[in-house]
Amino acid sequence: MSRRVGIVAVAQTEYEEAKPAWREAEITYQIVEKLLEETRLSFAEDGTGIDATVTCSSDHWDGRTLSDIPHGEVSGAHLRAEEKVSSDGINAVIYAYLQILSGHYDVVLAVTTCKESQTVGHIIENLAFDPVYQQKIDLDFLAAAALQANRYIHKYGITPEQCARVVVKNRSNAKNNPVAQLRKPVSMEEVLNSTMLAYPLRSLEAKPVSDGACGLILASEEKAKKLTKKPAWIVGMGQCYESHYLGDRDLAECDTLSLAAKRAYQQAGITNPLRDIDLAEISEYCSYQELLWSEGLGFCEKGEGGKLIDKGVTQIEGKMPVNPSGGVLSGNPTLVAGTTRVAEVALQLMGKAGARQIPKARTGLAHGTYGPCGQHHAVLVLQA
Amino acid sequence: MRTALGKKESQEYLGISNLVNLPFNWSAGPYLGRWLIELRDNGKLWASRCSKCQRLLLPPRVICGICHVRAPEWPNWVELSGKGELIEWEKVVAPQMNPSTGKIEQEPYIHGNILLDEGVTFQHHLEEPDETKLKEGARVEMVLKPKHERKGLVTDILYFRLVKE
Amino acid sequence: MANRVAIIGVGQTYHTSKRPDVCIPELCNEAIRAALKDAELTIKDIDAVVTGNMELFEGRYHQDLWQVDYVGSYHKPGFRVTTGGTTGGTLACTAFFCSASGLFDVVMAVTFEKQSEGDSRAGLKTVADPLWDRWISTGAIGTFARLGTWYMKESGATEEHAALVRLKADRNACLNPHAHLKLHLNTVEDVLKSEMLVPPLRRLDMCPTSEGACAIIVASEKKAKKLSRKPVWVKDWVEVHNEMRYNRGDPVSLENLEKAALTIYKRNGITNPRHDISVAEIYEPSTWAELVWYEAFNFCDKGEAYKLIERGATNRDGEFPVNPSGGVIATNPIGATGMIRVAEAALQIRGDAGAHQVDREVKRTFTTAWGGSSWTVAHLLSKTLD
Repeated sequence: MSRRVGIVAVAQTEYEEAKPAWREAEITYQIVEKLLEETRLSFAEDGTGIDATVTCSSDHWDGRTLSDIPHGEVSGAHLRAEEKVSSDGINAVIYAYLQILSGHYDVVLAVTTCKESQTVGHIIENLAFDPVYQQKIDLDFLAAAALQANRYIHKYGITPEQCARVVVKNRSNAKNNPVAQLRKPVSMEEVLNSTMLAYPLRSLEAKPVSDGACGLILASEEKAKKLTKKPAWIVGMGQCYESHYLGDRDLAECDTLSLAAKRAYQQAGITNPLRDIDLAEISEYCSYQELLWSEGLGFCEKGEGGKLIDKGVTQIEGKMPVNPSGGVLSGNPTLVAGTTRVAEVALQLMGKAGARQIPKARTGLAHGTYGPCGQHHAVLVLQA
Repeated sequence: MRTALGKKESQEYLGISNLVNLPFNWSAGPYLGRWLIELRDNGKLWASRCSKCQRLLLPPRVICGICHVRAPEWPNWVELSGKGELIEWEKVVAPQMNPSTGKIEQEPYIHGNILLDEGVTFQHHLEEPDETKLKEGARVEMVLKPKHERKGLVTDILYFRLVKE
Repeated sequence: MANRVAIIGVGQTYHTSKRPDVCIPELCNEAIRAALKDAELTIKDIDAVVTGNMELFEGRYHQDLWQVDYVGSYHKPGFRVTTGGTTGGTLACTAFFCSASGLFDVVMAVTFEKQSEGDSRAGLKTVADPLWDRWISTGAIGTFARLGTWYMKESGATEEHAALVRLKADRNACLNPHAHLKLHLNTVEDVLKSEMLVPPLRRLDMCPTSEGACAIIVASEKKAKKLSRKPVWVKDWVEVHNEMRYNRGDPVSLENLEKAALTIYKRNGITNPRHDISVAEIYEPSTWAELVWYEAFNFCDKGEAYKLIERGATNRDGEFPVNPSGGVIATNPIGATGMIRVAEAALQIRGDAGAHQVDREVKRTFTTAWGGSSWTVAHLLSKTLD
């Protein structure tokens, strides 16, 4: 018994450097309220409402064990099913998808919230590294990314300009996105002259600290068609873990992303990504990652990520617009970034992307990643 | 004990220590934030009431989690007298690590669960250090810190003391 | 209803108070090796790996990433779900969802806890809202003392009845090679002379903190029939969470437990639980909880739970065995505990529980996990597909 599952509604807060006016759960509630209003769904248990909730938050970032207690409270957890995914937010959407595919539920709400401004990220990220070999050398995700950037640049001759081009493109795209955090475009010079954080990564090449939340409602085909005129159907899904030890990997490659994409493409019947996919929202926490992840997703050959952006393929008017929303570089909180990518693709396919709409978008790809140097990747292919 | 390496008579097991100091600055938000400001500046205790199930919400919050409706915002709140009766208490003797400071706090204290007269419960320290003087149903009342010592924290309430008959 | 799936393998470590000889991923590796051996599979046969534990207890961020090379999720799909004390039970549900989805045929779920590597008392305190009651929170012990006092008043049960629960758990644990505390208690007095914590709660009325891991392997119907001689069919599962409890001093709510049980019973035609279910493995952090929850789960009428234990009805050789594994009171690696209930129930259905096997045919089992602010997860496993 295989069913189709569609995204029927999407909500995002404005992403901001800080949201000092709100508690984490109050931000989650802003999302839940919007979704309930749009779909007219309730938490009724007679088959007419939302059957379950998947929240996504981090005990570390919230400073609270069982961080889903307050998030669950505002998203209908009282005497109902709620589970918390602690991985990147794209996996919360994937889990909701799996729950509906299983037949156990028909309608599931997925919401991810994070307030990075309230604590210190690099201390938290350091705790992701194994305590024996990697934690004590003070790695955080930025330092690890710098290692990866160096390896990637060295192996394939990627230039600083090619990396900076990613930032210029995404920051320019963000001006059309009313919820983006950084909506002022930047120039190549500004990027190349911004403060060096961890060689070769400069401050404008790394994502800013951000607060916000993003949520979606997924439904089985029968219910999705009643809830909205144009659901965004999930037609392919892939996830993949990489080895934890950075030294065991060739950081210039992202075979795990290719594996994840392969699974998703197989399910979606995609044989030529550039031809079959109309747009992509990929999680680029640093500039070079968009180039590297593009290779992993099969948008170009290995090592050709720099050439891909030089040719203009991934520009908003190009053959494969990447991150028309402005991407993670324009400001998304950690964890939320993955859910936002799915939400943005869904909006594009539903024709609701406003000024950033890609015309005739029929098939879209959303990508999420977490862990040092992309240790886990997940890909969703959606279709209108 | 069965070990991964099979039983060994004497084995040194190395461990790696790490003390993590993770600073936070949590926003109080408009509901708890206003509640704390009222406590600090005006010495008042407030709750809100769910318009659907009518129960009192202490602290006031964005929605009633049971009814899933928005709860009232300030100033549509219910003022509490700060008086009630003791339901139960617990003398905490074992030194406790305070997760906010990482320090071990040695002082034994009694904390009580109080049913406020308006019909909602609240937990706080009790003034009375002698457990034998406590009785279920005993009348208690809130005692605040002097205004200049109040900081906009729940501990601006100093303790609850037994009402002298 | 869901597509049909079955548990085709289970594995646990030998739970104990401390495992200084292994690091966290090595601990999990022991459990997955045991599960793979039990299922007669290799890691190549596993399509996805999902993991979980109490997120802050060992302090590690994205714990699943360090585990990749040890639990077999290398180059495989998977993710991490963390729901506090119910994690083990929730991860069983996660495996059921993944395997029933049709996208993965064989899914392994791994849960663990290695509390000595963190400060779990502080970890539990941080459940409390940092701006409201974290300054005053003291953990879970007072809760069960209160439950005991309340239950004795309501039903006329005595401390001796709680002691009988402990004796049952210990007798069962002594027959379970994986159990942590095997105390060889003989009489009610042995239990009653243990240290009083918060009256009427004694040390032996509370669960220990254990270190251990548990893994289960779940397969879709087609694969289960192909791969396993004794698949344990998953009939149903439910999760019941609740709104935030701002006053953690308020009484433990039984609503969640009652709703979870009622939902499972109603959806599966169970009208007389003690008759329609063969064995129950419930998550009972305290002897008092076990008594009160017999009633919450409708194993008996209100006020009658102590009579069940008095006449030995829930003993391993009784008419309705509850926790033949020794239960949570004997073994509690928090993240894994909920899953151990499922693993033990599966062993009972298969007749593979060894010395602590109940001596009657086990057709259906009811398992629960408990945690959070009184959340409950419940599962129904069955020997046959129908």
